[in-house]
Amino acid sequence: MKGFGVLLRKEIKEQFRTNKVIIVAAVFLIFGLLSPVMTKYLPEIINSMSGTDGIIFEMSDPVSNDAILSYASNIAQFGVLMAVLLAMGAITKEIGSGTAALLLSKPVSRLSFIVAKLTAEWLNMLLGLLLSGLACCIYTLLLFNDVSVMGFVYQMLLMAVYFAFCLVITIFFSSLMKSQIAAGGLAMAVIIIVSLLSILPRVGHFLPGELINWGNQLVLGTAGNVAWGALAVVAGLIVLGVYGAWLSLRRKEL
Amino acid sequence: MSAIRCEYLSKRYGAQVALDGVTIEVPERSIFGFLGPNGSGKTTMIKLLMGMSRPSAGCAWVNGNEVVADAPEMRAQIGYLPDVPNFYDWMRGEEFLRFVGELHHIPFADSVSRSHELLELVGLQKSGKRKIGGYSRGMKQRLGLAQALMNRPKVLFLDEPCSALDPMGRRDVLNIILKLRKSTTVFMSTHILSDVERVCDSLAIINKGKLIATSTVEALRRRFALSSFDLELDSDPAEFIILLEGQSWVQKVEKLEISSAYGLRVQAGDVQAAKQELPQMIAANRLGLVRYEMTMPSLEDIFVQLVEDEVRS
Repeated sequence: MKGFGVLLRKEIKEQFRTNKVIIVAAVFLIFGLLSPVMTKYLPEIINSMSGTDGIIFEMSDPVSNDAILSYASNIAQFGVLMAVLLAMGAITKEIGSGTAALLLSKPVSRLSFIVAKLTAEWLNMLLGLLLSGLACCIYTLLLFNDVSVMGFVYQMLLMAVYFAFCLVITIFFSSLMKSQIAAGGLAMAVIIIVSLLSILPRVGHFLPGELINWGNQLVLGTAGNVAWGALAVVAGLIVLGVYGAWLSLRRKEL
Repeated sequence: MSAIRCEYLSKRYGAQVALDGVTIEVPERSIFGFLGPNGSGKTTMIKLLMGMSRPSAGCAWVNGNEVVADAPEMRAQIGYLPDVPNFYDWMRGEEFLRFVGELHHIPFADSVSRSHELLELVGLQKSGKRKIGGYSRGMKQRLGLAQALMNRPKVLFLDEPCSALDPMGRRDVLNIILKLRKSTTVFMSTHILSDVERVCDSLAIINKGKLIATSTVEALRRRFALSSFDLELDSDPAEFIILLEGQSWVQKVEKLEISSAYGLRVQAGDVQAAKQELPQMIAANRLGLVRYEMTMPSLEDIFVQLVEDEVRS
């Protein structure tokens, strides 16, 4: 991991200076702010419209957990998209432009190059998650006078692990492919397929998507299945993904 | 001791041969020119020596270490300027040099002073605080040279270092390279012969991936020297050319493009015979002689001849 610290500092600086931090934070904040508001007022908006043409909607009164679950659902979907968009050019773009050749002519290892990118992008998403989570918590508290803080924190941590998985998959394809569009497309396809497989009865319990379900159960405080298996599988996949990206980059002609 | 050595280094991309069994040795603290036309394999050679590309066959050693992929320790004493250097547009010139200094574990204070020193050396002292995204191609080339020198490398690989520079920039860069002679081994690829002639101690000539000559510049000149006679005549020498071509000591006669006179280059197989007979023949044919010179061939002449000989063989 030679040169990791220096490369990480450079990557973090790049996240700020190319406005990626602002973009991720802004997208996440929108959901952090809107989810509680929409959850609170959607029934009222729908009720105000019902009856005008003879149709009546019956909706139960929303509670704070509904706001948190709505936020989590939005963040999970858009977080995947953000992860893919952030990481799809991480390696292909640098190889294509020649900056990778210049950088890797210095005493730094290719593993440091990959892990520094992954860490900086993950930290960027973590910051977005923290800001939007904080906004969601405050709004939920203001609108519903109640929020399950610990459940919410655990859910965000599990979400952060899930995003790390998405970033690793994308970086792996970015090291493999020549075009960032191809890398992004393949990563998105794999993440969607893995998510779909999560609904399978036995196997699904060990797949990354289960982390989101586990988080939801922690928010609701329901005694669901604890998905340590899925967490272990995701950790293994992250290590494998980094190893695969390193192997692929080692074989690349710079 | 050799700073750079490679044996039978080859690189193939499918059926295409980019480099074909190249063996060279570069002595320490010398400037070595790697000369060849575009697409001859110069960049491939540098990438193989840097460990950025894997050879199909053969081995290379730099500073006594065998070149392998992903060996950061080996690169601590190497500097590299790519043919088209690209940087992070969001960084500033000085900031990039300090970043390179950090990668080489140069203490911060030294890194700052070294970056100022190098920016001044390459003529970018006024642009160091500007974002690299706004640099011209020539400025990037200068910054590329500065970053390659940041760690005071023992071996410096320069891939076409003057390709994007104006004449003043070229002169400056060549002067910088000349100053490195006592401390650094420079491996410089180029297709600009005058640059090699000006700064290099020795050179290798490559064409279509094959090494066709390795020598010092002087030895190469001597090998091809004193066999050519340049003549400028005041009348059309068409008949004289036919006469010359019939002589046993003449190897080749070619017309030279000169606007004010008729130019001829006579290449002699037997220099002594040529020295005695050529002036007599000119006089006997009553040709007005404007200029008569035994020429030292330029590196360009040698290069063209070697490449043509290679194509013919």
